[in-house]
Amino acid sequence: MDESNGTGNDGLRLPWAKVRSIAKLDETQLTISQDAVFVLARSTELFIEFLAKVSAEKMAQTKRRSLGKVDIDEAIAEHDNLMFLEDLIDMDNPEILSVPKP
Amino acid sequence: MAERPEDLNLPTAVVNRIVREALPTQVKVSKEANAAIAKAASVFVLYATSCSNNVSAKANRKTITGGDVIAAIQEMEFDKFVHPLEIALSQWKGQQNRKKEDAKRKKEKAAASLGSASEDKRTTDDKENEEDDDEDNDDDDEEAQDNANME
Repeated sequence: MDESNGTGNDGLRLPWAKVRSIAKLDETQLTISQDAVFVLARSTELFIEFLAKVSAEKMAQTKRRSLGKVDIDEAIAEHDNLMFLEDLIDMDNPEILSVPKP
Repeated sequence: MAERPEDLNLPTAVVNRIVREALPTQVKVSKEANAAIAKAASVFVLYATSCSNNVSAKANRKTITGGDVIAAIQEMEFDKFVHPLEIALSQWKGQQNRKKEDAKRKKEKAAASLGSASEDKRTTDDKENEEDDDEDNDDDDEEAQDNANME
């Protein structure tokens, strides 16, 4: 297991090469500089933390102590800046459909 | 070779670690939740790349820079990320510059020590060359005699 607290990989936990290869799937893409890949990777780490936290907030409103897919779905439905993820939501879940949009 | 959908996912173990570090220790994370967050993160990379692309294109540039990505993140309404990203980028650039300088210094040092090493080599080689020259001279003499004989 990597014990370096991410300090080896330029302070990142996510792997460079993987972030880069996902970014390169964008067909219209121009050249992507090294610092752009760095910022993309770091942003993604911040995003993961953010999504985890807002999902945990939804979980806290129920009696459950284990984060489930439904919590993530509800967080996506509630936050405008997570709208780009709406295709991932399980629309068969009745709880999601009843979440009021602010 | 067709790329399997799983190949687009970030490593779940790393994602899981980031998630656990962001949450209080008593909160457990189900496998499905972890998988969903990993998938969402991949989608985020694609979306952020696309937005960054637009930022560069609007500025008539052909290369996406770190600054473009930060601007894109702001357009995506993740304002809170902007400041930490600016700091991280500036620190990283500083590290990259230091690495380059270190590499440069090492290269110069190596070149310098190669220079002094080759001087040492010359002093021992000189002696060997003198012996060789003597041998060569003998051959030359023989050759000269042969040539003389042939004429």
